[in-house]
Amino acid sequence: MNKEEFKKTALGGLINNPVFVLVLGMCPTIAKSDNIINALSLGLCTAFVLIFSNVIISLLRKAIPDKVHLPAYIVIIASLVTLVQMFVSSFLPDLNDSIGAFISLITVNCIILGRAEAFAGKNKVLPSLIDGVSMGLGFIAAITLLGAVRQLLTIIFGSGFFDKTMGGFIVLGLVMAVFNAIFASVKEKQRKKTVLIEREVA
Amino acid sequence: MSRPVFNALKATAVLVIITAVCVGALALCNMFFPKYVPTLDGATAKLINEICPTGVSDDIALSDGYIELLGDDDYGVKLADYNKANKSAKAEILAVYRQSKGDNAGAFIIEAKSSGRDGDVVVLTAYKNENIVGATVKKQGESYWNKLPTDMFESLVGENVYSEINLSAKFGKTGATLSLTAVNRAVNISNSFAKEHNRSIVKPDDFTVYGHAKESE
Repeated sequence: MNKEEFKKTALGGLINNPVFVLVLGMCPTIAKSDNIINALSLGLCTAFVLIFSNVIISLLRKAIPDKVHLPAYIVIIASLVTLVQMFVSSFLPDLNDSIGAFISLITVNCIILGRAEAFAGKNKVLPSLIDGVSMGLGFIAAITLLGAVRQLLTIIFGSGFFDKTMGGFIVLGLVMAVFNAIFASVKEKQRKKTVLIEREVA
Repeated sequence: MSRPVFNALKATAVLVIITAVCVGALALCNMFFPKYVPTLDGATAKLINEICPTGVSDDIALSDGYIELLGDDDYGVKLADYNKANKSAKAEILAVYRQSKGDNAGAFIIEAKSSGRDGDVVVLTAYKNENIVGATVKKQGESYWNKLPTDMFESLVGENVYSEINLSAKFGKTGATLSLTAVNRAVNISNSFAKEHNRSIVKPDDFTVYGHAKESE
């Protein structure tokens, strides 16, 4: 893995943010970003499954025949989700009461299956680990930011809208727009800088 | 053996091995996670005292043994086995408490849980003379709990252990169907347990008249 590849993989969580850019995992993102604690907790659970599923799938990529790769991935992901569920229900019962149903749903989260299919199933262990960490952190950051904004708006305007699903949709749209606008402007600046350098060199 | 058959067998074998390893790993992990151990704490004693009054304060009811937590030996069945045998009920018995003395001596309270919309709903149902004398929720984290009828638990009072509770039929559409179903399942499994183990829990030897405490000598 060269430096350029490492940089590309490590920044994957930002450049291809699963929530704001790829628009994946919308169900738990909207349903459980009603407050910062739920959002951060679900983000951590998802990131754990994402990192370990990426590593395990990458380790087994040559052993898993192509015809059964999807069910094999699902078995691995579901086992990791069950482990997380067992941990949360045993040690954090209050958290289990608030996000328990959505922990089970991590199994069918598009981000995890998407990374397994697109990356971990085709790459070595180290790049897959980096990809898992990057995407996991990207998801945690996105869902926590959304949770923080929604909680703040709920404190300001009172409960009943921003802590509900429709409020979640609107806030997600606004945060997504701001994120993409900032990101586009940064990319544009970088492009202009590159063009200037190229002109100077020419 | 032809190539396609070999490939199909290989794919099946790999899938079976992965599944077996995952199941084994989870079973191993499960041994190290703590299991739910029911305890008779102040909060539970307070709830029991509300639905089935002992006639004394919550603190005294707890400290002076008015309410006691029973073990598997007291009702002659292992709760784990009972729950395993009644998996179709989609609810579990967690604990059984008994009032040994006080205004409702001879009554017993069953703690049962069932899955609602956002997690487990834990319900306490109190029985005396094979009738429900009170019920309440011990734990819930349901989003639409406030949509449930306020008299839901009161409506259970007087129901017999032999009756099949159907809260949906009683209250119709509530806006919290999953929560209502969870309560319904928890009460029904409590009813089944009470029906089967009523006599062993109450222990007729302890009470001269069924449901009335024997005078201390």
